[in-house]
Order: sequence, then C-alpha cells, then structure tokens
Amino acid sequence: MRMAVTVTRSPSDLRPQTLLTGVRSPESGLESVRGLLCQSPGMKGFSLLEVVLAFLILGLALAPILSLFPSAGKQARQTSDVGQALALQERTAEELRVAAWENPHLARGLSLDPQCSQDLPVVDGGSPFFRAVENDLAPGGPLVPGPDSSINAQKPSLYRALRTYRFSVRSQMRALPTTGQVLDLSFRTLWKDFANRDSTLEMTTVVPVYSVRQGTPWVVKSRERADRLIVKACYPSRSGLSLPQLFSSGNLAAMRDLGDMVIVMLPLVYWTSYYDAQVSQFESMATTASSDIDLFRIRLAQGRLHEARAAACVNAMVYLAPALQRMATALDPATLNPKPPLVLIRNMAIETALIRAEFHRALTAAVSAYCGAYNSPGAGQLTRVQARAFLRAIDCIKLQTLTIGPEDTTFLKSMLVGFLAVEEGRDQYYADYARVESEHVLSTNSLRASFPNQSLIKGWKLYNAALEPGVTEVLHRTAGASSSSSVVGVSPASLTTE
Amino acid sequence: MSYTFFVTRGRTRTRFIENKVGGAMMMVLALLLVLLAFGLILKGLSSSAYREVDVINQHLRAVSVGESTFAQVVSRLSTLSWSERWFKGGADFQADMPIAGGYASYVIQDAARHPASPDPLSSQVFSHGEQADLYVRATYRRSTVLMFWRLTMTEDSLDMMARIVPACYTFTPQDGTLSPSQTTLIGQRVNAWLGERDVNRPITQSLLLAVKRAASATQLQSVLGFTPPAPVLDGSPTPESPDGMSGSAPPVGASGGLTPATLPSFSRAQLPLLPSPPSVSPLPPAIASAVASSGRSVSEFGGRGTRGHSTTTISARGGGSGGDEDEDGGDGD
Repeated sequence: MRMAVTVTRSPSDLRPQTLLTGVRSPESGLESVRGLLCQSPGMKGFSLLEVVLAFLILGLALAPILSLFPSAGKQARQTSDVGQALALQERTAEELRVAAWENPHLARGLSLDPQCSQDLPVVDGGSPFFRAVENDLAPGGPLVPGPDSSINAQKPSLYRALRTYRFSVRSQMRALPTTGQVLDLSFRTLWKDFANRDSTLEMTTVVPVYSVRQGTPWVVKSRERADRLIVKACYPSRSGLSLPQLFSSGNLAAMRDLGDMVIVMLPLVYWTSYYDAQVSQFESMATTASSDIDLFRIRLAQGRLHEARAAACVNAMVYLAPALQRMATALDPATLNPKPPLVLIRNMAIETALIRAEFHRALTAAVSAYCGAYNSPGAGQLTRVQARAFLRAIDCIKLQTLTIGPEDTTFLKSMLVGFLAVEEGRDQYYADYARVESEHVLSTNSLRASFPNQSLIKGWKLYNAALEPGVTEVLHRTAGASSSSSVVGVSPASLTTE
Repeated sequence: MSYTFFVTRGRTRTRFIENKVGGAMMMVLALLLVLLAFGLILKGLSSSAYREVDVINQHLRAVSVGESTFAQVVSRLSTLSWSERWFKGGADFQADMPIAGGYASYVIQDAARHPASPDPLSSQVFSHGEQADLYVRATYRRSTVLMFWRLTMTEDSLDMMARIVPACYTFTPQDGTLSPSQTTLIGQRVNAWLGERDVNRPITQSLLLAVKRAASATQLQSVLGFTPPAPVLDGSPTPESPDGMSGSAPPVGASGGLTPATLPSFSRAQLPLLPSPPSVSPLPPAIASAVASSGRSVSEFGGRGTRGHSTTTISARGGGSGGDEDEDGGDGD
C-alpha cells in the first residue's frame, strides 16, 4: 500500500495535496496523521490532538490487556508451584504408605525423629524425606548401585524449581472406634511465590499401623466345637455325649487340657504330610525353573510354606504351654474318669516334645529359603521385591533367637549391617528399617524388649518350663503303654476337615 | 462518524469538521475490540488451565481419601483373625464417612471364590481361602473415584505384625454403583482376569525362554513373529549392512563398543550375602533322652517319616542354594 500523506497549506485552503506520492486520498483514515508531518511552523496541525487522544485511549485500553500477560504468567507460575507442592506431597504419601507396609517401625520413627515435623528445605538434603532421589539418570535411574544424591545444584532445573520449598510431616496415632489404630499424616509444604510471599499447601492422609494378632489354633477357637472334637478323638464310642456330660465329676478341666493337646497336635501331624508334599513339588519345580525370576518365586514360596509350618508350631506351643504346665503338675491319668487310653496321653506328650524340634526345623528351612531367594541372581528382579525376602528372613531369625536360640544377636547384626550398607542412599525406608533394627539387636535383651509379640515370648517360656517335667512325668506314668498313633480313635484328616 | 468538536489553536473549525469523516478512532476502536477479544481468550485459556490443575488436584485428593479409607479398613481388619471378621455374616456397607478432608463410602465382603490356579505359586496367593473384596467410593469436592481391592489375610505367617496383602487393585468407572451386588460383579471380573493370567502364563513363559535364547535381531524377529517390511528400493543400498538389521556392529561411538555378547551381566556383588546361622539343638538333653527312651526320634515327627531340614547353607551365591536341605534329620547336635 502506498502511503498518502497530505499537508494543509493554509488555513483558507484546507484541501489536502499529495506531498510524497502525489496520490490524494481525502477519505483515507491516514489523513488524521497529517498534523504530525507538518513541516512548516505556519501549518495548523489540528489533528495532532486527535491522534494523541486516540493513542491515549488505545493505551488505556491496552494497559489492562497487557497486564493480563504477566497475570497469566503469574497464574501459570502459581499453578506450577501448587503442582510442585502437590507432587512432593503425593510422592511422600505414597512412599510412606509403602513404608507402612514394609517397615513396622515407621510410626515410631516418624514420631521420634524431630526433623520430620520441622519445615526443612527440600533441596540439598535438608528434609529427611528428600535426602535421596531416584531417577538420577534417564531413563529409570542408575542401574549400578551407589548413593543417590539429594536435589542439589547438579540437577539445575529441579533445584531451581524447588529451592524455596520447605516440607514437613506431622504424624499422630489414632485409635479406630472399634478395633485397630491408624497413623494420621499431615503434610505441609511452604514456598515463596512469584512475589516472594509465603504460600502453603496442606494435605492429610492415613496409613495403617499394624498390630499384633495372636494366633489361636483354629480348632480350639470355639469351646463347644473343640469339646465335640475331643469326644470324637478320645472317646469315639461315646460320641453321642458331650464332654461336660462325660466329665461331670470335676475332671472336666483336666480332660479339656489333655483333649486340647490332642486336637491341636493331630492336625499338625496331618499338615506335616501336606507341607512335605508341597516342598517336594517346589523342589522339583526349582530344578526345572525356566528363569531366574521363577527360581526367586519358588524360593519365596518355599520360605512361605516353611514359615506357615513354623507359625502353626509356635502357635500350638504357646497355646499348649498352660495345658502342659497343668498336666505336669496336676493331671494324674489315674484320676480321670472315664479314663482315656493311656497310650493317647503318652503319644501326646511325645508329640508335644517333638513339636519343638519340628518348629526348629521349619524355622531354619524358612530362613534358608528366604536367604536363597535374596541371594539368587534374579536378573530383572526389583530390589524392593527381593528385599522382602530379606525382611522375612530377619523376622524368622529374630524369632529363632528368642525361642530356640542360641541367644546371640551377632548373626542378626551382621545381616543388618550389610543390608544397611547396601540400602543407605538407595532406598531410604529400607535403610531406616535396617538402622532401627540394628539398634534393636544390640543385645538379646534389647531384641526381646523390642519384640512386638511379648505374649509369644512369655508363652514360649512357659512351654519350655513345663516341657521337661511334664513329658518326663507322663512318660514315667504311662511306661507300660506302647507308643503308636494308630490307637487314637480318629484320623487327623477327619479332624481337620470338620 | 463525524466530529462535533475540534479545536486548533483555540479556534473552532466548524466547516472543516463538518467535512471530515474520522477514520483513526474507528481503527482504534476496532483494534480495541480485537485486543479485548484477545484478552478475553487469554484470560479464558489461563483460567481454564488453572481449573484443569484444580480438577487434577481434586482427583488426587479423592484418591488420597480412598486410600485413607482403605488404610482404616485394613487397620481394623488386621487386628482380628479371619474367623472374627465383622463382615462374616454379610457385606458391611458404610456411607459418607468424613475422612481426610473428603467423604468415603465402602462395601467389604468375602471375596467371590476363585478357582484354584494351576500354577502352585500363584495359587498360594490368588486362590487363598481367606480373601475379602473391598469397594470404596471416595469423594473430594466435585471429584469422585471408585477403587476396588482384593485383600488376602495371611494368618499362617510368623510375621508378628498381622498383615493383609492386597492381591488385586483396580479403579472402576466413576458412574459405578456402590453395592454388594456390584462388588460381587467386580470380584467375579477380577477372578476372570486372574484366570486369564493363568492361561497366559505358559505362553509368556515359553516366549520369554525363546526371547532369552535369541542371539541376534534376526532370531528375535522370528521368535516374535515379526515380519520385516519390504526393502526400500528408491534409495542407494548401504554397503555395510544391506538389510539394516544383521549387519556389522554399530561404530563404537554409538554403543560404547558394547554388543549383546559383550554386555556385562548385572552384578549383585553389592548385596550382602547372608551368612549361615549357627546350628542349635532343638531339644534339651533331658527331653531328648526321654523321647529317645520312648522309641521315637526327633526326626519322626508325627510318626510319618517327614523329611528332615538341615541347618542351612545360606551363603552360597548364585541362587539355588537357598532351601538346601539334607536328609539327615537336621535336628542339630
């Protein structure tokens, strides 16, 4: 477009003429700028004010519109900041939720560590929740072991984005209205916004807190049902009567003690065969395992199987301890009326003694299998999955130390120290777990004090105290009876399937 | 449009004004309109982006409410044995509980029975008899999520902390109804998924084996059933690797000189190998002699000739050593 610029020559001759191009364009809007180009001092540039006014209006209108740009930028920055804060909280919430599953000391650790509840910087390892970040190198983080660094200047973009962020977690145990406890977690993130003002985002969530569940043998959970089983096992010819009807003369409590031993022990004997069959099957699977991951799974399943057997043994022993003690001190087979077969009492005493050995064997085999899983190459196996095998092994060894013995925590300590060395800087929660556990296993006393299920330890002590005198006494009194399980009036399978 | 008032050096130029038609103001106003529209669009886009973030935030918070509900239910369940579960007699339905800043409703009931898995390893977890289905609807402001868990109780574990293992977890569509019948329906669907996985397992295992054995890209192609595309004819062929797949190794700069054959295996040297635990006698001497006098031995638990389990060999590296068991009774000294 060719520009037409007009000039007014005199006040009386206001007809515009072309100055530069000779093209006259009286209807053009560009005429309005002619006043600006008046060269002569005598010219009257009346349209200057018009243009200035127009620009003024335009400027006034543009001002709020232009202010939208920084406003949009600020809004985007604010959104980004909130998103960052939310991401930090979500990450921590997820990690603590996982940690609650895996680390029984999480609640205690959070409450004891004063740094958790302080607003500490996210960068440079200030906050304990961000001392190590994974995914240091793309993609998926370093495959080689080694300490993961915190968010530091070596990660410039992340460092810039988070350098004003401070993070804290407050935890509070809360009892549920009916049963159980939960850990209320409150996350707070503080940061400086674009105007250097303090901003805050808070979020609350809940994670589980595990509590000790005492395993009562299922066959004796219902007294009525247990009494029926006792009659069925010890007095098959009188199965029409109830146990209270059979022992109305005051021997009922004594007979229940003995009967409980029978109905608890017989399923254990029965399940031993089942476990053996399963173990054999897993062994044959291990020889033909097609991959390391399969081998890992097989070892883990073996450990689980042995652990289940050990759990059944220890639950039975703890439950039977009082009965055994009463049997050792008060139960005289001669006073039982009607008398159960003496060989039955003898068999139960022997089985009760042997269950200790079985417990030891199952526990050792479980430790062996879990360690096998942990030590297996398992190429491609996630370290967290692998670490679970380690944790199970630790649990088994702790129980072994506090029960069968030897009461020496050197072995446990060496395991935990090695584990801590590996997980330090790699996985914070496993490192924390190893650190707390290392404090617990300083001595047998500290291990015993920190053991969550104190009633189990007490039951074990009772069992051990009653075992020797009880078994010796029973064997002495029933010396004439021949030991054979075939005299029991019921098969173990029929007891377990009722 | 015409001007009604115009001043130049203090004089009114009525005649001139009457003859003029102002175009600049028109343009300015049109430009203003355009800028206004542009500004409005910008503002709309910006607030829309903010709303999107807010929606995402609410969704995440709703998930957090759902998981908090899950935590409460699991914590309650973990203090009880399976036979003492409160929903034994039927599904438990709780509605609109305030939790973690939102509201949640849930249904928990015994899991739909899953047929035994042919894989003995999976059957230990997925066909476990003691399972419950938990269906949660969590709401935070205007965001709602429905989440489904299948929980397995491991009562026969030595783990002193009673634990409940989630065997399956999934989101469901947000328009689903929260009811026992719907929970059963989802439970059956989960069973179908687990069954499908059992069916697929042998196929994937065989495929995995074949892939591991493949030594070259060409073999990998045939294992995976991949048909390479027809060669491109309009370009000049590459003399070093005509087919582009099975030629010589790439230059050192691209791969660091590593080929599949020279890749180092993943080393677990950093893992602490577990040492052997000390052996111990399972029975006190007095008891052992008493039992022995009865004609039984500690390796004959139950009189069924069980396999003995040795003190273990734990420190061997490379797998397969775990669970080593000898047949000597393993009852210690």
